[in-house]
Amino acid sequence: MEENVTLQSEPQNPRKGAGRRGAIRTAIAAILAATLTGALAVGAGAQSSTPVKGGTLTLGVGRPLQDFDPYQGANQNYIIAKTLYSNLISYTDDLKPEPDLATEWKLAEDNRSVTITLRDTVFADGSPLTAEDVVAGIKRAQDPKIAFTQRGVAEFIESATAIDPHTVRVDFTRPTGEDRVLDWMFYFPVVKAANNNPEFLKTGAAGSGPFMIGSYSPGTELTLVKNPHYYEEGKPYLDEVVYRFFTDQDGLVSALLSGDVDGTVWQELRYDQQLAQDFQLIDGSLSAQTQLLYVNPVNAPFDNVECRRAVLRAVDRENIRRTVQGDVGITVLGPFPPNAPAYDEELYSQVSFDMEAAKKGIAEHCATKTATAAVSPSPGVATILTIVQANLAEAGFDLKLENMDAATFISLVRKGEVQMGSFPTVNPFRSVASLATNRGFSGGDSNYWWFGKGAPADYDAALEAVRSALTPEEIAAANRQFNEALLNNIWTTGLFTMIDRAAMSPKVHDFQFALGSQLVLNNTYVAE
Amino acid sequence: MARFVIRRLLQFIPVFLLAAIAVWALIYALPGDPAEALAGLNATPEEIAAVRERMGLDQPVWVQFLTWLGNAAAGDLGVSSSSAFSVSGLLAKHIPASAQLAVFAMFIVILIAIPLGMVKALAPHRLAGRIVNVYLSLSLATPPFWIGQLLILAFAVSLRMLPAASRYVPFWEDPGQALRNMVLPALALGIYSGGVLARFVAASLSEAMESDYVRTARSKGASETRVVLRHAMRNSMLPVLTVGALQLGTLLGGAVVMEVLFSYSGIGRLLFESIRTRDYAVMQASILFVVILYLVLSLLVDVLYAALDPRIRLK
Repeated sequence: MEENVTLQSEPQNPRKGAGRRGAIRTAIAAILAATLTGALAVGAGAQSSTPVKGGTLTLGVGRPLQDFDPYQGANQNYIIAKTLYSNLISYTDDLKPEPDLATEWKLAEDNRSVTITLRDTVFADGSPLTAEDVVAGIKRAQDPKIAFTQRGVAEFIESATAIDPHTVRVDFTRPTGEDRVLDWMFYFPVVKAANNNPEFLKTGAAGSGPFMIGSYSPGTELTLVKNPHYYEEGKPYLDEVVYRFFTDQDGLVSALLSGDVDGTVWQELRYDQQLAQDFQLIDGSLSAQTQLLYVNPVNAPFDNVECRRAVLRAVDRENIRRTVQGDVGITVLGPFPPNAPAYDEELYSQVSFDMEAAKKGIAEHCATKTATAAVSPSPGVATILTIVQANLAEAGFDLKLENMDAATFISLVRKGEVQMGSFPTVNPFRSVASLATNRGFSGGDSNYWWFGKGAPADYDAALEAVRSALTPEEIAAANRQFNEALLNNIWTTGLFTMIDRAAMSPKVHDFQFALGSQLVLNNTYVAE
Repeated sequence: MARFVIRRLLQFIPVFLLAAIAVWALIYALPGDPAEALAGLNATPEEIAAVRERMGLDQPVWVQFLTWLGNAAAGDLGVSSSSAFSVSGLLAKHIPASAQLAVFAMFIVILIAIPLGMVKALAPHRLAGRIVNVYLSLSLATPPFWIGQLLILAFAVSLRMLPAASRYVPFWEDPGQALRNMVLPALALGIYSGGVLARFVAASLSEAMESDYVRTARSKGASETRVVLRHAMRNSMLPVLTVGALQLGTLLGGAVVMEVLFSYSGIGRLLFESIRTRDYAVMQASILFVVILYLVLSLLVDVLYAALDPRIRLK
């Protein structure tokens, strides 16, 4: 008989036993993680001991909603991801798994399957939530036409079987480490099977989260009402949440200042000073996203790895972070936030800011000393690339900036025609394999930065090692191999951990961001 | 008159078709792939192909155009690729909002333009005329969005009297709330457009006051008030009507910047969002709505010309 081991345990430390160097790294990470968790602890709205039930919270939102599909991980959907849906598990700030819709989960001893016990609950429409809904959801995540952002994290799954109405067994294509399984469970939303398709979820929701849709006027307003069937007793406290969508940042902040809305989400950081005195400024998760700088390794002059390395050494990340985000966020050299197991800033120090090394490297290794950076309209990108331009000018490299709209930028990146660009990546939590679902980090031919050429062989081998690692020692070794391969072929560097920003009037209590920066309103209430 | 109107309406058809082709061509000339933009940077080729198929972009451009034209002729303007709502439904929601704002703004425009234009024309060298001159220069030199920002700062942020973000509340449902929500964007639009129209009123009235029929009216002993209101004003309204109609068209077609600034859900904001998200169906329908609007307004102006001036015969 197959023996099972529970995954409800302390997160394993893959760096354990990695020697003195590992200890130093661990200490640095611990300090940064302490900063991080400290920041997160104050990242919630005002707290009060006696929550007030009922009432309406009106929030101004700085990004339009894309749809109600939780398989579409675009950050525009973060206002509904955790309010209309529940996932299998959640993570604490230090990445410990906690039950959500999965009350128990057991990984098979051979690491080839996980058996999940589901909570006895119902969807917002009152229909029972069953194992068949999870099975249907996994099938959708395997359909490349409609899987969207669920496809990558679920790619190790072969099939799913409903054992009984509340038990589902998920079989893997290969032995898979618990970190990757947990990341998938963290990302996986349970959607009612009958409605789990992009067409329905464009205009309707089918989840079991604390709220459900009251009314929706695209681009204008979305009203959520309390889900009477929500499994957490007494929650949510609010009867209604109204999201009002703003295209203009000045308009968003003016609406807050004038009292039209109780709070704003995703306003730009430049308004902090204006809002700090009268409103609670609430930071999103520091580990949700990292802003990165990419250079195209396929086209000259960046087809020379030493030129790429030299150019990236000219980038003053600390200055960029302070200019773009002020005192918040953490400057990073690699793609991982400090609480990720693969975080290894010591290793990445070989691409840290060093103007003299940059000047020498550019002079020696860059065949031409000019390139063009694509400036997308995302917040902060123009500032970032302007600073990079100044840094590179000092290092003897002429960087031109070309402004473009988001659609053009995406098309050019996907065609491998962008020489340099900056945009964030959603962070992996426990497993590096989750990062590789991002096509800027994926292996083989699907990596758009290695367009037409394919990712380097040593990088592909490192990804394979990450996917195969099972024990803490194997995971630690694979993480290091991954970081080394990334550095050997360097085409991207971390800049800083990005934060989302909310501002709430003092009457809003316990407003929170989830670890992935989605809005969590289970505990939120309004009290004068 | 009826034959003239019917003939003009028939002329609309080729104009509309040409406009539709031009808009379609311009939309397709935009760089970037809407399917890629909608699917996102990390989408697989299969996902993008599926999105492209859902949006109908997998067909040749001319097939897409003819399909759209056929459906539009049958009253089906398609489905918004970004929200999945029917385009006609979205237009039906946003056009009344813009229309209400336009009517209210036009009311303010007329309240500003007629009296100020008259003062400038009739007393150009007196103190009142000079003050009006200063106001007109200022109103023309100040961009409406800046006026809007100042109004928000004063009345919404500082005094907290009026909302900074204006919602569309139908006037017939709640007149008080409708006025409360419209007053700032309408004022911002009205101050600028009122200045423009006032200059036309002044110029036209000044010219009329120098004309023979005014001299004749005076020589017949008509009072100055009667001369101005009965004789000069009526005739001077013809060119003003043209400019006023064009301004009404601008307001009805969506004062894009103002609707974005006040987060007001009119046709201008819908168009802005559709361009940002490369929502072809909404873009096409919104722009063609504006084209039709201008065609209808130009027809109305011609008809009104005949009504105001019996010398004009519509042939």
